[in-house]
Amino acid sequence: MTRDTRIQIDKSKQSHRKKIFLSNKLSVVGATIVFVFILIAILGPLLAPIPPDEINYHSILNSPSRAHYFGTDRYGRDLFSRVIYGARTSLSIGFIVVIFSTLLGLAIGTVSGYLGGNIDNFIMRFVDLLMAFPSVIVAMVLATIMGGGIKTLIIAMLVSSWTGTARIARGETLSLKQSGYVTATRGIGGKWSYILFYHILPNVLPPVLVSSTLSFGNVILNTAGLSFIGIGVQPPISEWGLIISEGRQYIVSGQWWLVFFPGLAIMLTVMGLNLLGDGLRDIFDPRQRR
Amino acid sequence: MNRLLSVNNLNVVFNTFDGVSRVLRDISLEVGECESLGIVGETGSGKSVLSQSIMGILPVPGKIISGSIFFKGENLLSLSSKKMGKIRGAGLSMILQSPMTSLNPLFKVKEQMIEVLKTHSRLNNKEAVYRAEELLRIVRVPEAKSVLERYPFELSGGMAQRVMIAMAVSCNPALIIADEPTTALDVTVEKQIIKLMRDIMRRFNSSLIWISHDLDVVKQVCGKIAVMYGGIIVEIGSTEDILSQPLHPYTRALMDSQPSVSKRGRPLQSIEGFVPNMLNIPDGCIFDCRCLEKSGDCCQGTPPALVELDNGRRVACRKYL
Amino acid sequence: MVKPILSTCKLKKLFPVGRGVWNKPKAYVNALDKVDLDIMGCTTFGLLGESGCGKTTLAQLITRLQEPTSGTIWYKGHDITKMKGRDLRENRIYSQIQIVFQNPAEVLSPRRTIDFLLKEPLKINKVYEKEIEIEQKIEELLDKVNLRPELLTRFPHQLSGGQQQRICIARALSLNPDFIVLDEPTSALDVSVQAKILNLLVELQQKERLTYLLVTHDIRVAEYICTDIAVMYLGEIVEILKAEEFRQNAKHPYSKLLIESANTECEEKDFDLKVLDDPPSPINLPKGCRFQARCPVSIPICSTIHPELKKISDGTKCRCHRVTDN
Repeated sequence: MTRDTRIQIDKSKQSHRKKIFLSNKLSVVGATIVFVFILIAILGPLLAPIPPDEINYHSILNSPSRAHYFGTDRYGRDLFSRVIYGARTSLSIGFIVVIFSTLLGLAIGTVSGYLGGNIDNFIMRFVDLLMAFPSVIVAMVLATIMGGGIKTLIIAMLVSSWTGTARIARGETLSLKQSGYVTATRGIGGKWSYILFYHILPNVLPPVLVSSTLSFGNVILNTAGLSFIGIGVQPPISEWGLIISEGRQYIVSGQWWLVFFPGLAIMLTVMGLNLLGDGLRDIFDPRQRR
Repeated sequence: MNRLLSVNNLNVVFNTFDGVSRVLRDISLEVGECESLGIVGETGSGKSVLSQSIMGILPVPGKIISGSIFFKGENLLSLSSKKMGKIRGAGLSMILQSPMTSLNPLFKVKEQMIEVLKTHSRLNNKEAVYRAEELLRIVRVPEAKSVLERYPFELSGGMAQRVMIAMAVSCNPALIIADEPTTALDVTVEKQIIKLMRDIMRRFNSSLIWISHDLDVVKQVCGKIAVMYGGIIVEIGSTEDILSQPLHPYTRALMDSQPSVSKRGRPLQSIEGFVPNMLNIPDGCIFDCRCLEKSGDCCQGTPPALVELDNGRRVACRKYL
Repeated sequence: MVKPILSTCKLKKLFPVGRGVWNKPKAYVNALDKVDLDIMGCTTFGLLGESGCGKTTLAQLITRLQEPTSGTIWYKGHDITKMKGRDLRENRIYSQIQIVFQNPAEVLSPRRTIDFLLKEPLKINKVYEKEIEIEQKIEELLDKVNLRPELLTRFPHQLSGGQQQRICIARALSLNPDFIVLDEPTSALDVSVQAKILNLLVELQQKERLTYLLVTHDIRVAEYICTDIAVMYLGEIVEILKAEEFRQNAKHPYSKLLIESANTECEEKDFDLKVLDDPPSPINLPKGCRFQARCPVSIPICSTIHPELKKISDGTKCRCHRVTDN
């Protein structure tokens, strides 16, 4: 056994990262919440006792009870099931939008940043243009053209959210272009396509991942918001924003559960995603490295 | 001789994810009035941790677990942070390696210098500006008035370091700690700063602790040198003595590994192996596994403590027990 | 007569500074000004200078990491000045000229294992076809730089500074180059580690018959390891002479200033105050000699006429009116 203990210590990056993440209590809470909701979404049909769109005129606007954990809405539909199915809707829309906008933003941002010059200028002005339009307006315009519904919703949010990722990816690429190891790789003969894929992309991924996780929460909020104003998801599909919209008028008359439970679901999911995103950012922070 | 600073059996640890790292072990040294001590060590020796501990700015995972640091008769470790704040910057000041990161880029030089002056003295604005200009002239900054109006990024490295020195001496400190102040500077600028520090010491009657990895720099400024390795002091004595007759094998190896024209054509003496891991300190002498002059029992038992030889020399090596 | 392995002719590099109307630069930084160099095979040519003198720019131009504004670079008789990516690959220049950088921690990608980083040059340049040949070459390389194979699965941050620099040297060697540019290879390392790296470099030079271009600001390193030393100041070479006699025979006032600054014997004599000033801006260069404003022995002609780099004797050149015009 030699005394070269520095070489002896074989701490792989994975276990070190896990340690940092687990030591941050809030991120663990966030990760747990997100995991629970994903589980709910997947196991939806098994967990929901009553089909979410089953109308029952005998139990309209019932307050929470043992039969209906979250109460019923104005059509007698079980709110508990609706909220569970709402998780499926929101999370699947969220995943689709986030995954595609991340891929698109990553591709465009990285290439634009690496090539630089006029191409970069042109692409970035285009991105600026897109970002100038609020996502709600874009959604409304698209809804007018294509009609409302989930497809429109997804496309509208995709158009609005890839730009954020593109900006981050481009910024990281610009600074990585100057880094020592990119220069060194050029020195050994690396082509730009090789450098982009093997050296720049792996380093651009972490901040993009963090940003995507945080934007997931935004997507859920936007989905709820757009459905609330009637553009997004159409009834009778269960969606949290839509449920709130339908129950809005009953707050005054005392049927608080119609707005409370979906609202709570939105709050918890978004908070969980934000905490998870913060935790991921801490792991990827180079200052945490030993 | 009055002991201005006296560090006694200082032990500092860092609580890391991987365990407890014992970065400083039983450190004892003194600096008298108008004395200059050079602390020489390589990466991992703990020299920066030592300076931070004295100043009371040890970063968070670090903790002083035992020992004392007496400055002008007071134990700094027992002072409240408010009292320590009064001493820091005034009686005890520090010059760091990179002036570009020590100076706030958002404020002009004038504002930063006035801040130090007004915190520790009763000068009003006008008087503080006047004093700041005077200080810049003392550190030989050309066109002091216009430099006061500049932002740090408008200054060259050498100029910025002079501003730092001016701030460090602004309240007539009894002791200045300079942590690698010239490492980031060009060699011609370094020479100027070395000369400046010698003048400053004479003019302000301050004591100086100069920390560096470069023996050649330290020997030009300091009368006493302490060599550190792996968290302990391995040798301490007057500059003349240490340079003419280094006693500890590490000091000898360090001096032999310096390239020079006289060694052309021959391989340089290098030190095999690595600095030991502070998380897992081996028994016996810390330098044992890399030492060319060791004997059988160097790796066993308690590590050799600093032994006092004649004329103030101290060495931590079994050969001198 | 033996021809130099690498030579440059009037190599110039300007960097644009500031953007005016229509993105046109407001001014130019004169990083390198008509530099002529001749480097003989199997020697170590040292570029000595302080920050801003252009030595790193020169190193990067020679390795084609940057484009020269004008001038030519000849390598083994071929003009490589305008060669870019594809040309360099086709002519196998990457297998002939390599570079080792200053800060190994920044040069080795933190997310890649040592194994990946060592194989990378071989894979990019498609040197071998079979995986087994690559593995053998890696083992050979680790042996040459005195490292153990256990390090292959580690990440760069798990290695010490000295080990990281050895990996960089191994990477540079993997393509069997003849010419290696060393850009301050030991500046970021401790003195004892520097000794090991310098010993390794000398050993490799003899075994592999390499030519080195060593960029450094440390006279002690240059004196120890170089065959010739070229002193640079503000984008120009101001003196070239044999490394062995550098301290005794350097004649240019700036070389003398460098020697004096590196001189560690305590002396009380005052520095000439002129010398204390910072160098002039490389954007607005003075007419005449560039060192004139800080020179303790300047004469009137120094501020009007720019001195040329003239040969004084075999292997010695100097750019100074006082030295060459007597």
